[in-house]
Amino acid sequence: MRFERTGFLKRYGLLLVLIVMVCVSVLLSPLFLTPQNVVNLLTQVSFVGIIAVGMTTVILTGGIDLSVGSIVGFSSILFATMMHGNLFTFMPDEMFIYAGMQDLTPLLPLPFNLFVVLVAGALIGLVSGALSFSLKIHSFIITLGMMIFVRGLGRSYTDGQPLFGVPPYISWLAYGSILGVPTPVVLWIVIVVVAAFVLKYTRYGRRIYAVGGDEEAARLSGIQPALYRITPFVVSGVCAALVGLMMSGRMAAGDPKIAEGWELDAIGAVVIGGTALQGGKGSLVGTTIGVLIVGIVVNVMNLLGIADYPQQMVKGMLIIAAVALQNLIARFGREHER
Amino acid sequence: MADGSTTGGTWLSGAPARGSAADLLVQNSHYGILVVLVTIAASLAPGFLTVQNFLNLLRSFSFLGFISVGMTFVILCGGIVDLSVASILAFSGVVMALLQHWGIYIGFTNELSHVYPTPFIILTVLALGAGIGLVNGLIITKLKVTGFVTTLGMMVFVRGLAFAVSGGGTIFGVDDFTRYLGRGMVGPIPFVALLWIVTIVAGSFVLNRTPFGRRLYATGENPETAFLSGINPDTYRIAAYVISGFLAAVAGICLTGRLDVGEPRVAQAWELNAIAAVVIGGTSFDGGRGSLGRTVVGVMIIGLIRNVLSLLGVLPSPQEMIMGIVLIAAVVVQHVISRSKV
Repeated sequence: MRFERTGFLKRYGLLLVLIVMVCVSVLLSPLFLTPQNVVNLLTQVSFVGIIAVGMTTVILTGGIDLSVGSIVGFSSILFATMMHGNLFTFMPDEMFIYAGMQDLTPLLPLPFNLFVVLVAGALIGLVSGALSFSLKIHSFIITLGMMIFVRGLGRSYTDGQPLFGVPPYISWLAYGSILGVPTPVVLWIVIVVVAAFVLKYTRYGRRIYAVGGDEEAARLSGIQPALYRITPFVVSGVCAALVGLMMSGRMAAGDPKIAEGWELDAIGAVVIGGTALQGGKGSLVGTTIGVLIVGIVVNVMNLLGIADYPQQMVKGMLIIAAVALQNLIARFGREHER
Repeated sequence: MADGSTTGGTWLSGAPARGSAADLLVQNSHYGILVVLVTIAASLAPGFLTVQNFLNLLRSFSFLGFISVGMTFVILCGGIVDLSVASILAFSGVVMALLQHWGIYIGFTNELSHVYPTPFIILTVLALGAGIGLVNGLIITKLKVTGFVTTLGMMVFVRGLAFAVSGGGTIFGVDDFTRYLGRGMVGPIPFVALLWIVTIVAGSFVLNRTPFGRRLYATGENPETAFLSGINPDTYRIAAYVISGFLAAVAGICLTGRLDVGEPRVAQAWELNAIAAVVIGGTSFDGGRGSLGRTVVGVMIIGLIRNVLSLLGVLPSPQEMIMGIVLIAAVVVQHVISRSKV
């Protein structure tokens, strides 16, 4: 009986926490459950939410990707540079001239300029993954180097200045809506559903879990770990590049300085969602709930008018408490299984 | 291949003194990089090779240096990383200034109003730093939350705390004694640099010449075998985080003296620089292999590369790019070297 109870806690505990939090939020602020606020909340979290999808696949294989925040900034400025093709033939003497360049001169026709940005994100992920896999160096170090490098690369284009002006379809990525649902939320949901399906129901997904759980055992059962170790970084890079495009739309500019520290927000959401940093254990559903939990906490504190700093303190405690709680439940469950 | 004190070797570098000249060369390649950097810098700037400039550089390295020393302890004992150090540094600096401006809570802001004499304030701040480290260690060992997650949470929390206690603003002005800690000179040597050197020597002594240090290495190399040979790994894990928190507080106090303000925004992302310094120095990320001497070289390499790039007139953004490449190149080269030895 008790064992069943802990099994239930392990399975649905996170969902319970989310439901309890929604209830508490409703009690704390009458504004919380208004449609406007719910839409705002979902739109705000969808950016980190998409990054967290890539991060989850990386962490499931036992790695970590610190470069995502930098990739967001880099993609944003890369896209803006490609939209200002005349910069390649005419270099302004002074940086402030960038600010006045509203007229767009795309280098490539429509699908290609988006494609180039996503491929750039994928390539950065590929390099991170390939280096850390082939050299057996912990991805923390490789992606830390990549994070510093890519941020510097993005800032080098325009010396850290934003480049204003984006085409309408990029604004649509941030402000548009499909059937009344904001585009970022739709994108987030689609990506989560597709990725969750792939992870759960395809051979590729199951092998990611296998390699992350025990690489040696996976190798002995005939799985080549290379593919499953490297591709998650590519997924993560593409997700980050997409968020970079969405952020360009949100700010109507390409800005290399955005999304600093987002990698840590995404990692926080993933671990709150119950995915183990050691790999092999966790799910995208958990990550999504993790993203929502952090989002709700921040949202309610905003509604209550709590300043930025106590919010940070609560966020920090939330990360530690969530993981500590999961460990306690897991240990409790193990003791009763015997 | 144990690279630490366990195999003997030169006391400060921790590199095993054995093998052919070629062996010696690859094992000490980080010194080679240092020599190359110094040569480039010297040829670019005529004033570079003066004692005065060297001492100034030493001072500028020492703030990052303190937390890199703490980070080395954490990484050596297999704790992966301590992400909270930069936040602890900022928090310590703010508390240091705040306790000298107690009147801030009753409306006076600019005049010094010590809550109690400065030495006690320093003790309080050091205790707070060590205390945060202790909490890190306890959460990691008792609640079994991984070091990465714990210190990530603590990093966010303590940074928020630093903002909260200072009300988000900057606290201007500290007393002469605190300023001396950051700016003072002992003869020709800057006080911070001297303190850093003392810390390195003391830390190396502890790591290489005491049972505590040997057990810390053993814990990092393999907690299981350490446990079976009668070592309680938890004790050494906790101790490493306490040392790391304590040294972050030392850096925070000195930086507050140097800047003459208590500022919650300082040292953003320094934890990553410290990790980079440790890794570039060649301390293994898996724990149990490496030394403090290597970290010192790592800190100097990072500082000198920035110095040389600035001398060359490279803008800050490309400098960042180059730092990223250097970090990745350093681990790749170390990997290739260690593989060629096998």
